[in-house]
Parts: sequence; structure tokens; C-alpha cells
Amino acid sequence: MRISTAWSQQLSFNAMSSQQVKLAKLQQQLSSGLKISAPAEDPAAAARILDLDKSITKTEQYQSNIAATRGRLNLEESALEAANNIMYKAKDLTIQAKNDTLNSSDRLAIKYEVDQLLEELAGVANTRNANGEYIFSGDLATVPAFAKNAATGTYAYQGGLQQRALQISPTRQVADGDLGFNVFENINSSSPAADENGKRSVFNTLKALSDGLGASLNASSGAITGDRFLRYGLDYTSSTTTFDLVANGGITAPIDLSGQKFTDVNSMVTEINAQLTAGGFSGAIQARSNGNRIEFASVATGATSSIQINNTSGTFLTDAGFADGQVNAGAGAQTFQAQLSDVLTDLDAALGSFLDARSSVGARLNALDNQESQNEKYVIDTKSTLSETQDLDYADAISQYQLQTTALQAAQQTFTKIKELSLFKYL
Amino acid sequence: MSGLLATSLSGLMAAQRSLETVQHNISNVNTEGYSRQRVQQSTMTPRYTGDGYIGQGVQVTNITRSYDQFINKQLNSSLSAFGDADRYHQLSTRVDNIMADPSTGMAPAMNRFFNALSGVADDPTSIPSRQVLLSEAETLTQNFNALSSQFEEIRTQNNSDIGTRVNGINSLAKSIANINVQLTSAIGRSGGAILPNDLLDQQDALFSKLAEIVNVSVVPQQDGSSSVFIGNGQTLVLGGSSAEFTAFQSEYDPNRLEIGLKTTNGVINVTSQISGGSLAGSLSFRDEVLDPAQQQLGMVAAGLAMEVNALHEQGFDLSGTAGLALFNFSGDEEIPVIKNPLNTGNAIVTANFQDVNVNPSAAGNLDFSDFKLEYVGGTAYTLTRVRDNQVINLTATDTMSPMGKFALSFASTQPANIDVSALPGIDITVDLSGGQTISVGDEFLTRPTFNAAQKIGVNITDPKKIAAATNIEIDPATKQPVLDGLNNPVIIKGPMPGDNSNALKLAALGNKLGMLGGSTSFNGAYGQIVSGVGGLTRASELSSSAQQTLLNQAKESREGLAGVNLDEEAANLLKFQQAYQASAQSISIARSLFDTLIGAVR
Repeated sequence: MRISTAWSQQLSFNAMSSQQVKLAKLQQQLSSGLKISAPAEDPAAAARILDLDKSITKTEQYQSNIAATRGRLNLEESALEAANNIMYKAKDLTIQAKNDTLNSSDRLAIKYEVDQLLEELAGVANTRNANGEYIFSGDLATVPAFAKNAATGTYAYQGGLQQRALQISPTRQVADGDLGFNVFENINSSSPAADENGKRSVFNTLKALSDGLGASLNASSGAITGDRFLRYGLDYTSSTTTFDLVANGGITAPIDLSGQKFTDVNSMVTEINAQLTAGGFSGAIQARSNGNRIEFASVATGATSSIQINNTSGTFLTDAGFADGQVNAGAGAQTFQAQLSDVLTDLDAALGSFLDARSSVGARLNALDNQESQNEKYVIDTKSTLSETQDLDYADAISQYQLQTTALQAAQQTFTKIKELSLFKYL
Repeated sequence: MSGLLATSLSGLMAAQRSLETVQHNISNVNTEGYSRQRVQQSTMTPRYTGDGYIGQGVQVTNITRSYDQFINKQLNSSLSAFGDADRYHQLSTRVDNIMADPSTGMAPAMNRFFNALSGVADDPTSIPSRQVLLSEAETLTQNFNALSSQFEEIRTQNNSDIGTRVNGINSLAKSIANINVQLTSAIGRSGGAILPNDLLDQQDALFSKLAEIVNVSVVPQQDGSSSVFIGNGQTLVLGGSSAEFTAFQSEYDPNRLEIGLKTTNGVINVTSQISGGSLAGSLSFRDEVLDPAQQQLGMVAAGLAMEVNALHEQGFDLSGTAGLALFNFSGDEEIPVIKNPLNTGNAIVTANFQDVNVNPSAAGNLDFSDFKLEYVGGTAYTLTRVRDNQVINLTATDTMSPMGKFALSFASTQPANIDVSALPGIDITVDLSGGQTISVGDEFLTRPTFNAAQKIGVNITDPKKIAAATNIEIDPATKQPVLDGLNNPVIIKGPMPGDNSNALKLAALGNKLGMLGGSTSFNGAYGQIVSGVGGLTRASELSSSAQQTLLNQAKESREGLAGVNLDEEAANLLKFQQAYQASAQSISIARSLFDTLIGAVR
């Protein structure tokens, strides 16, 4: 076969050019450290790299979620420990106070100490985290969990009703705290002063201790509390809602909220009390807000006093969280010893509640540790897969680079040698 | 005696012509498209004598070029195939590189966006973490916009490229027609016996240049000219006249160029007939790589906006008001609807993305294609998926207000063998309420995904407006939602700053398999674009290098036949030099013979 001079030149050039392309490619790989510089080089791997990257960043986010959760749970744990210590002190004081040899001034001295403990516990329950959130307020994190009623000196829960959870793995969420309602307020009680559900908040228990020590052994009134969140009020602008409040088994006060809109629970309380006053029932029945809930109470105290809600029309029952005919009677005054015995039992119940919360926090912290090490392992495994997929094998690449360099040099040398061969040199 | 001189002289002349031709070959060793030439010699008519026929020397009969029509045809078709594959490869590599660039990479931006949502879920009361989310959302949409504009830029360049190539075809066609005229006269001069080699080479080179741009068929004519046809018989060059190509804007999309042939009856659209050459490479790159990638990117953007907005609108912000859409689409209309200029009716057709809260699979039904709506009559419409011409039937119902505004829904009877069972994630309405009319055959083109990535933006600037809360009232003891009389969860009508439930749900969207019929996540859908473009680029790289090999083989066989080899020419130089010297020597012998004779009679 014959070959043209121009084509033989072209062939040598093609050979050198393809060597140079390969060299440039290797050089790019060596300088970037990556096997793949564009998806076309390995389309499947390119998509896999995106997936792996996503898994890694996502899991790293879970790790930082875990760190945030751990910080908050540790804070809650120390708050609960402080609350525990307060309880022990309160128990000691109660046992001390039950001693009949104490005189009233001794008891008053103890009372002042108990009052201090009450304030201290309120401080603990209103602990704030670094973001300024009240840790026991749930999803209403900007509002203190417990607020003091200036008139009665009692504390009522006013936080949210939902505990926030954080995502610590694709399928796992962990609550980053506990509701003050569950920890401090909703505690079983056998005391006659317990609410209609048999619950007494630890603040009320301490208040009862303080009151008992101050020798005010009061009879309690009947009170019913709706269990719905009414912080932002109710709207009856276009609906009818009426109900009756029956005090002491006979005094029936009709309440009509039709056509009115309330933007918070206090305006509703004010309106109901105004209607009670207008109807001349203010001496028998009273409405008040208990945190975010509405409460109806009889003004009279003692076993004969009671309060009932019935004859409702409209949706007030469900909206406020009452049952039709729901009734609660007051209780007579207890003796000093009986009151303190109940206090002692309830303090134990409160301790139990704190212990439950602490062990639940501990379990969650444990879960965080487990998940964290799982996530860590996952990240390491995924990173090594990613590295296998995208990182360059340097030893291989360098030896290839040397091979290509040699090949290019050989091509260049043969080119110049062949170019020297020409018949014209001999003419 | 005089015969002796004349015979030597003819050898001298023949050797001289041959030497000239060798020198012509040597001079043109690097001329593209040059075919080496050879002098054809033959003996002169011998003289009859009583002794027999006496040879009268040599004569030059013709100068021919080494040429093989088959090899040239092979070369041209290889040039077309390579031009097509190479152009496609060059262009798709650009898209591929854009997708690979981590700074424009959508995937990290999407990851960061969902991580920022997770950050808001960690700290719903914190304004800084909400601000981070807004900036990440901004970055994400900007990345969508930037990537889309890069696609647009490639489209613009590709368009101007197509224009340049069309102009190239036109000027080549003109030159070929010119040469045709010269050829006809040159060949006519010798009655077809002697061919103008260099002129033919020039025309062959023009054919090759044309073949690089577009695949053509060349038909040699009796008079020596060549006719050039394109596609299935559209004439480009006929004798001394040439037709003109033009690139014109598509009726639905000014950014889309079609190829037309100017005729006396107007412009004929020949886009679908263009095959081979870099022009076809540009066109098929646009249809197979650029448009699908842009549509798919838009699909991811639209799907993300639909899913995130639906959840965000269900949530409540820091001040307790219901969430707004987090993402929006700039422009007058959410989805562009373009009317066919030939429509006789004046109905107003609008299209919107479906609400995921109403149709949970809306984002999954999105399709990376334009859709053509056509009125069939009565309440019947058809919707054609442009990317594969699949048709679905739609029914119009007058359920919207005001009267005469029709909502189109998936009809109960459908053509067989379709792979969809719902509208492609969009709602279409036809508004005839203001007395507008629609005629059978009226067409509208809707482009749900094409511009979505270009148009997506963030709707919210105030970090407090991020709806991290669901405001669902939870019973603290049972931890279950409180239900109202209709068994729906009760919504608290006020700010719940610490509620992160909606942010959690939004962050979980990052893992939701909501795209492409519920088969993949947003990231996965984006990954499919990357691997799709990567796959096409890789395939084009392979086919381009295969075509390169074939082209080299074709070039090699042409060069083997027609190329100039300097060593060969050097040998020929020697050969003809010797022949020349020998003929000159025989003249000198003739002279000495003559001198001998003169001396004998002196």
C-alpha cells in the first residue's frame, strides 16, 4: 500500500495528540485527587456520589441535632435534680413540722423556709436555656412555664401542651424536654384539696404546707377546670353558645357567650364574671383562668359547696374541655396533722414524678449516645464508600502517568526520525 | 534523419510534461483535497515503411488525477457522521461540565436547604436559624436560576451556531454552483475528453466542507456539473443555481430555531430532514440533551416548590398566622401558555401547578415536557405530551365561577397504551366566561417545567414568617391531637413559637420519594439529570471516537489513493529526469549521425 506524505505526518500527529490528551487527563486527576471530574466519565458513579454526599450531610445534621438535644436534656436533668433536692428539703421540713412539740412561732419559721422553697421551685420550673426558651413550657417556649397568681399566691401552668421533638435519625425523633404540666402540675393526689381529676400541682402542695404552717387551715371550694388550651380565646361571633353554672346544688347562673369573640382566656373570664355580677351570682360563682384553661369555682367553701356546668347549647363544652354535668364539691377544712400528712404523700408523689422525668431523660440521653455512635459509624462507612467511588488511586495514576510520558516521548522521537527519512536528501 | 530528431523531441516533450506534473504534485503536497496527477503517455502513430512500422515516439494523451468516486463518497459520509457525533459531544460536554461544577451544583444547595429546615426545627424560636433558612432558600433558588441561565446561554450560543452553519451551507452552495458553471464550460471545451482536475478537486473539497455541516447527496450530471440534494430530495444546488437555507424562530418559542428552505412558495420546514453533520449534531443536542435537562431541572424546581409550599401553607408562623408560600415563580403567569397564532377562537387558557394539599401526588405527576392542548369539540380536549407525542383526553366541566370558566380534568375514556393516569401536576382552565369563543382545532402550548427553574424565587423575606409550627392542639397526657366535632385536629389560633412540628415535616421532605411518580427524592431526581446528561455525554464521546476512527480510515484510503508521497515523486523526478536526459542524448546522437554523414561526403 502507499501512504501519502501528508497522511504519515497526520498519523504521527494523531498519535502524539491522543497521548497528550491522556496525559492532560491524568494530570487533572492527579491535581484534583478525584477519579471523576465530569459525570460523563462515570454517570452511575456521579449520581451515586450525589446520594452519598446527601447521606453524609444529612447524617451530620442529625449529629448536630443530637448535640442540641443532649444539651437541652442535660439542662433539664440538672433542673430536675435541683427540684428533687427541694422536695427532699420540703419533706424534711414537713416531718419536722408534724412534731407536736413545736409552737406556732417555730412553725412560722418553718413556713418562711417553705415559702422560700416554693419560690426556688418556681425558679427551677421556669429555667431558661441558652436561647432564652423556658425549658418546661413545651411549644409555648417564650412564656414562663408557671406564673404566680398575684391574688392567691398559687402557681398555674401556662406553657404549651406539646413537647417539641428533634430528628436524630431518618426515622427517630427524640423529645428535647418535658412539659412542666406533666412534671410539676399533673401529679396524683389523695388530698381533699385535689382537683376534680384527683391531681394537685406540687406548687399547690407546697402552698398547702405553707398555709398549714401559717395556721390557715382553709376549707376548699368546689372548682371545675376545662382541660383545653384557651390562651388565644374562643370565637362565637357567628354561633350560639350558652350554658348554666350551678352553685351549691341550687343557684343557677345562665351564661350566654353568643356572638362574642375572645382573643384570650382573660377577656372570656372577665365577660363571664361580668354576666355573673349582672345576674347577681357573683357572691356564689366565680370564673377564673388557670393558666391557659378556664376554671369555674364556687365562692362558698366546705363540703356543701359545689359547682356544676350543664344545659349547654353550642360548642362551649368541647371548646373549653368540660363534660356536661361535670361537678366538683368543695371540702371542709382539714386538721393540721391531716393536711400535713396529705402534703407528705403528695410530696412523695411529686418526687416520683420528678424521678419518672429524670429516668425518661436518662433513657433519652442513652438513646442519643447510641444513635450518635450509629450515625458516626454510618458517616465513616459512607465516607469510605464515597472515597472508593470518587477518590483517585494515586499509585495507579502515577505509574500510568509515567507510562504515558514515556509513550509520548517515544512518539515524538519516532516522528523526528521518520521526518529525516526523505529521498530528496540523496538527490 | 528528421524522424530521429522528431522522435527524440517527442520523448523530450513527454518527459518535460511529466516533470511539470511531478513538480505540481510536490508543490501541492499539503493542499487539502488535492489529488495527485499523472501524465498519461502513449506511442505516436507509427509510420509504415517497406521495413515495417517505424515508431514515431511518445505523445501525452491526458493528465489524470487519482480519484475514486466510491472512496470520496465514503469520506463525505464519514465526515457527516463525525461532524454530527463530534458537535453533539462538544456541546453535551459543556452541559456535563456545568453539572459537575460543585459551585453550581444543585445537590449541595438542596442538602443545605433541608439541613437549614432541620436547624429551624431544632430552634424554632431562634430568628438567626430562621434567617439561615431564608438565605439557604435564596441560595437554592439562585442556583436553580443560575443553572437554568447557563442552559439558556448554551442555547443562545447553539442558536447562533446553527445560524452560522446555515450561512455556511448557503455560501458553500453558492460556490458549488459557481464551480458547476466553470466545470460545464471547461469540460465542454474538450468535449468531455479532458477533465479540469484542479477544478474538480476544488469542488470535491467543497462537498467535503458541506458534508461536515450537513449530510448531502451529490449526483453527478452529464454536463460535468453536480447536483446536491438534502434530506429527502430538497434541492440545494442544481447546475449553476443554488437554493437558500434559513434558520427561523419556532411559532411557539422564539428561542427555538427551525431550519427552513426558501422556495418560491415560501419557507419549507426541513428541520426533521436534517441528518448528519455538525448542524444535525447541534439540533439533536438541543432535543436530546439541553431541552430535557432544562425541563427536568424545572421539574425538580417546580416539584420542590409545590411540596414545600403545600406544607408551609399548612403551618403557622411565629405570630400565629397561617404560612404563605415559601417559593414563588416570577412573571405574570405561573405556567406560560402560548396560543397558536392560527387559532380562530379567542379563549383564555391558563395553567397552574396543582396544590399538593389537594392532590398529594401532584409533584410526582410532573413531567419534563411541554404539553399541547387541542380543542376537539363539545367538552372534549386532548393534551399531547410533546416529548413523545403521547395523547390523553380531557373533559371540561363548568364548575368554577364565573359561569363559562371550565376546569379540565382527566377524561374517563382514554386512548390505549398510555402510561399516565392523571394530569401532569398542573390544572388547566379554559375561560369562555367573557363571551370568548374556542374553535375546534385551536391549539395552546403550555410549558410547566421549561422555565420553572429560571423563574423560581423565595416569596418570604421576613424570617418570622417561616411557618415552623402546626399549631395542632395536643393532649399533654395522651400526646394525641385533640379532635373537633368533625374529627379534624384542633388548630390553636395564636402564636406557638416553640412548636417545630411543621419544620420537622418540611425537613423530612428532603427524604420524601415524591418525584417522578413517587419513585425518588428531589435529590434523586436531580441525580437522574446528572447521570442522564453524563450517560448521553459518555455515549456521544464513544460514538464520536468511533466515528473519528472511521473517518480516519476513510481519510487514509483517500490519502492512500490520491495523496502525494514525496519519496514517490522524488523517484519519479529521477525517472523523468533520466528520460529527459536520454532523449536529449539521442538528439545529440542524431546530430553526430548527421555530422558523420556530412563528413563522409565532404
